Amino acid sequence: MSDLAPSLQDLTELAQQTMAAHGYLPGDAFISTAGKLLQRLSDPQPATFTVDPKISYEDMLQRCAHHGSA
Amino acid sequence: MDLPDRMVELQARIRAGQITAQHALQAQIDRAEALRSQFACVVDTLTLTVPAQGPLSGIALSHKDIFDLKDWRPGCGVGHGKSQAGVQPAAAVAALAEAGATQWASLVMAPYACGATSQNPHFERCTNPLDAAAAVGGSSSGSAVAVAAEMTYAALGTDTAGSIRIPAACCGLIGLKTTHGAVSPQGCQPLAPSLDSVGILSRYAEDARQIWQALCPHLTPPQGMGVGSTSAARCQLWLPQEGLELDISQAIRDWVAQHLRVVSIDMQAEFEQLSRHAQRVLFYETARTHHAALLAGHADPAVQAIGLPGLAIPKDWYETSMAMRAAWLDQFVRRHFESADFLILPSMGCAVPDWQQVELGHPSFERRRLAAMHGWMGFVNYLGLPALNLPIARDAHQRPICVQVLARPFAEHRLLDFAAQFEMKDRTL
Repeated sequence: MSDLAPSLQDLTELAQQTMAAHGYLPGDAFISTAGKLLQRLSDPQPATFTVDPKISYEDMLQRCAHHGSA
Repeated sequence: MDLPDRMVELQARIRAGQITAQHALQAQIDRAEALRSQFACVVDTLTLTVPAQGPLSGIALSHKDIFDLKDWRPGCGVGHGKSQAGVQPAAAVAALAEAGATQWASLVMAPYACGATSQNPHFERCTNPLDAAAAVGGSSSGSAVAVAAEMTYAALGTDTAGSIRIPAACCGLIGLKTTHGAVSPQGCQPLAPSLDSVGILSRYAEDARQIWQALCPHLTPPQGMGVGSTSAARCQLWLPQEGLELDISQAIRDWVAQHLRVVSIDMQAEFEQLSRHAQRVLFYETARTHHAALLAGHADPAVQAIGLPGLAIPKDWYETSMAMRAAWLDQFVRRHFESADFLILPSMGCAVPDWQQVELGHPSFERRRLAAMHGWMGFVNYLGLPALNLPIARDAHQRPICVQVLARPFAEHRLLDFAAQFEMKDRTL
């Protein structure tokens, strides 16, 4: 998902499907707004860095607390 | 009796035996009661309990109405609290009680902590003590008003996307958003649990430090270590090229030139990426927290504004953002805190607006001003870093101009050192 730049139409359909999966079926205006939200929050730039998946976020907070540790 | 301006001075008087804890409590409560109707920030006054012995004995505090109390459920901004046998106090409230503090009242907030202003149809509009025409900010609006009005020396709030720092900025206060997880959220109504932090609003840094030490005694540096001068602090400064009013930018430049040596940076691209992740998490988790009420159609409108769009966020987007969080934190700390102690940026992009300008539905409403109040807040919650709002100047209308100061995880004491050194000595507006 994060490596692609889908169209607004694709994202609007995705928003509608996602909301429908929750059982929420809003009108067209809200679906359009939700599609624009997904467009704003989509991330066409791939991540350029990684971290050991075994390091949890909580562990990283502790690790970053000290100089020389990050 | 005349109460001192600073909580630490009152604590010193109590310790010296110049006043009893009981007399000090009564004096604070009398003052708060006298001011109560003027600022409309109180939800409920509480049954006072016999204070424990501790450093906060004789201190009467009031907090955001989001914390469970003994046998009491909070109203969370949509009503009054309710008696309920068996409820245990929230961990943060219990920690303050163990340090001797008494809680006098619960304070108004945006409905379920959803909102960057004090707009709340369930309560009378609370008033900014600095300027009745000015916005208060939210969601910890009553906490900011009560502290600025000198109805309490300090108040707890919560911050999911700026809910401590925004009202602190509007009311000219110290506002400390703590490191994610440093203060237990147990007994505190969640909004987006991955972003929520319990924190502190106060008029003075040293008063906030007293509260912080009571909340997290295990994070207090050993005597003589870690607390001290920040005059030689290495700072990065980010003044965004977009969305920052020139007057605010110039005021920050002037303050920096007077006090600090900084390295200016541009982190716009990084900020935008982090903000996307923060919003994905905020929307998704708010929808999850209020899922049943949203689908049943009886969620508060303020909750709907965040929660309904949250139903559209795909689960894999959310999971991606959460999976990348540790890496983003690692990278951010490497970029900004290997060669600097603090990262300074504006709290808000605009001067504190009139309350009507950020009141949804008001004819004077300006969306850009509302956006400018919270735009640079949420990314900090995604990272989980501590951040402190610090008033540094006043604008032409004598409203506060503030910066956010960020530091490494668990560096709250260093942030308070910084604030103590640079806080405005004269709070009289």
